[in-house]
Amino acid sequence: MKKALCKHISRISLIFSAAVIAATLSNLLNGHLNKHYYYLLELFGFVIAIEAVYSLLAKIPFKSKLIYSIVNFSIMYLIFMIFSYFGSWLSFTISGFMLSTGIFLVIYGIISYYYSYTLKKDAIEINEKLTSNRQ
Amino acid sequence: MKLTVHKDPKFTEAEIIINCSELDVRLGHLIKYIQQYTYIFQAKTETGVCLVPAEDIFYIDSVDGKTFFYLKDKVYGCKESLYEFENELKNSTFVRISKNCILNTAYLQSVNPLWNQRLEATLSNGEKLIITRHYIENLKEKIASWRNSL
Repeated sequence: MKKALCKHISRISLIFSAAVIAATLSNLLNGHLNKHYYYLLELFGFVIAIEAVYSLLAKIPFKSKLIYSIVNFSIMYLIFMIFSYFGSWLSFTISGFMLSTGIFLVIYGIISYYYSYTLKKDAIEINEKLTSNRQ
Repeated sequence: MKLTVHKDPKFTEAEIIINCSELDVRLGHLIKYIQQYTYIFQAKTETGVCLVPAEDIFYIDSVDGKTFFYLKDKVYGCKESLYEFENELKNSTFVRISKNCILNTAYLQSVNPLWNQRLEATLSNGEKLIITRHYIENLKEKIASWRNSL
């Protein structure tokens, strides 16, 4: 049941994302140059960049959790700032900077928690299967 | 479990027949174990070559383009690539867990999550190996197939 639900959620998310991107591109190509369409594409690019960095860092054998966390956080923060700057997501005043950092911390926290949660879940699932196979 | 061995020179090849009313998990493990006896690999030693049965291999690793068998307390080199072993052993308890390692899940004791999207596998001899994110699903399917194959 849980597996089926996860499968459906993944499928719905994929289809929804593809539909939004296709509609955005179609609108832009048809001359509807609304800034919200650009924002959607920027957000899509940001998500791809985050996923690419996670995949890349997963290939590097870091010596400690601290080094990994510092490198990971720094790169993610840099990417967020680049997108914020070029996409004019936020105003670059002190309050804007603090707000963007706050937003970044929330997004970073959610993504990190999600990855850590799924990995822990995988480990528990594998260990349970190993135990039941041994019985 | 009753064990009967018929020894006769008329048999040209050893054959194992299991008679049972139901195939349970333990019997399934025994069958998997027996199936691994069909795989024997040639390994390089200092003096020449030797034959290594698959069930004795804990994992197969590739370093700088060279492939090695890791047994409980021995390491042998071999000429085949990791890819060739992966193909040959796809119906056994072996599964690829990273770009350069194939693990015999029969010796997998437990896994622990690490921080950078990897799992750490602990083998029954205490050795630790890294499972990369890309291969976690493979490992789950392989372990699940132990049961499903029953």
